Amino acid sequence: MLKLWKDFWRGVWDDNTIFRLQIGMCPTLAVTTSAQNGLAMGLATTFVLVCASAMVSLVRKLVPKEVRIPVYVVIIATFVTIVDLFLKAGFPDIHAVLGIFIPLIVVNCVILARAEAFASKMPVHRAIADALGMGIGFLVALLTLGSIREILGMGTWFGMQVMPASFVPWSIMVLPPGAFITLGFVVAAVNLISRQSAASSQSS
Amino acid sequence: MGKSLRMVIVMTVTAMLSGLVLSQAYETANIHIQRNQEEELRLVILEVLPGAETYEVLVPEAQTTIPEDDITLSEAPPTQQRIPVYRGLDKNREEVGLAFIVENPGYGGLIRLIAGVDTKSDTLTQIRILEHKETPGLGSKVADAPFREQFSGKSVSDPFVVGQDVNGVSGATVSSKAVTEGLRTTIQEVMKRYGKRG
Repeated sequence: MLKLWKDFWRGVWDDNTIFRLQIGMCPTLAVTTSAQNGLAMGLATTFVLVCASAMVSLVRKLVPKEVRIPVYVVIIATFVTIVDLFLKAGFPDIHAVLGIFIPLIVVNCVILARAEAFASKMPVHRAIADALGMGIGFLVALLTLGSIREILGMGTWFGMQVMPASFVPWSIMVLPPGAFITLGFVVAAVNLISRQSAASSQSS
Repeated sequence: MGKSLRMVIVMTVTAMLSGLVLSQAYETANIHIQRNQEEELRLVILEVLPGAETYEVLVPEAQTTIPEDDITLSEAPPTQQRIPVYRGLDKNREEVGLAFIVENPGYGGLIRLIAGVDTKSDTLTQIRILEHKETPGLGSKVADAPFREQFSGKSVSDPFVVGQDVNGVSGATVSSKAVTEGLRTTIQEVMKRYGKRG
């Protein structure tokens, strides 16, 4: 149980894809203009990551080493297409905004990286724990960036007015430069927290 | 030999399973996707026809699949082959106006828009751009309120010429003309066929 928790927590904090590994950045920077978009993209990616990792882990002994990458890509692409169809059918508004980024989940390096580095070597339950951790870490990162950018850039959070009426929205925050600025500050904050927690655990 | 055969089998089975799963998913999702699109069209028709409670379809949208033996279609001039028309009705099922879809090639591709005509006064109510592939930030401005709102209240017998009675978007003459000219020809056609005085 403890091992599973470790597999999970590593993705959420220690090896957070966005804040630590800094991979999978292009959907991150592009879609986090609002909290809702960040959440939807995080959920879609987590779903694909968990399904693909579980499937890769299940077939890991059947697939010859030489053709593993094409097989993984087909598995990932299948789940991405399902998500795309599902969003289009159930949530057309979200699909209209995220539309072009959903197919790009296929080439999100996080997913192939976890399939290759973890799921292809581990039993299903550990692969799922790892994928859930990585996915939730990604989701939290996107939700954080999306929230900060939406609150400062539009004065709203999930579409609700949270800033006083006198607040003038900083429109740069919802434009591409705002993504880099926000990311810089958030990564700095995450580094600060982890450095302090490392220092305090050493001294005690 | 045994190894490459295994690789072929594994990849074939993977691709087949993927195709099977996706065709099932598509069948299931497509019903909802089509319903969403119909719902969207329904809302936009009622939006461009103020006062309409419901509407009836006079000319439905063309089937998306073009019959293969229909060669005349590709040789025909690039004007609209078919104009979907909807008649808006009020509470007492009296006609309040007509809505129709205009398609005209712009700068980047086909511009598709819906327009409403109040048949009591023979004036345009509103236009809404449904689809376009115009240059973002330039031609795409034809979909924005300043350009499209100048059509509201225009008489159907107006000339509809950019520079005369329509202000084009500066830097986007082709897109502005595509919308204006598409409206002109389609309005004439629709009014001739379905207008009260026609």
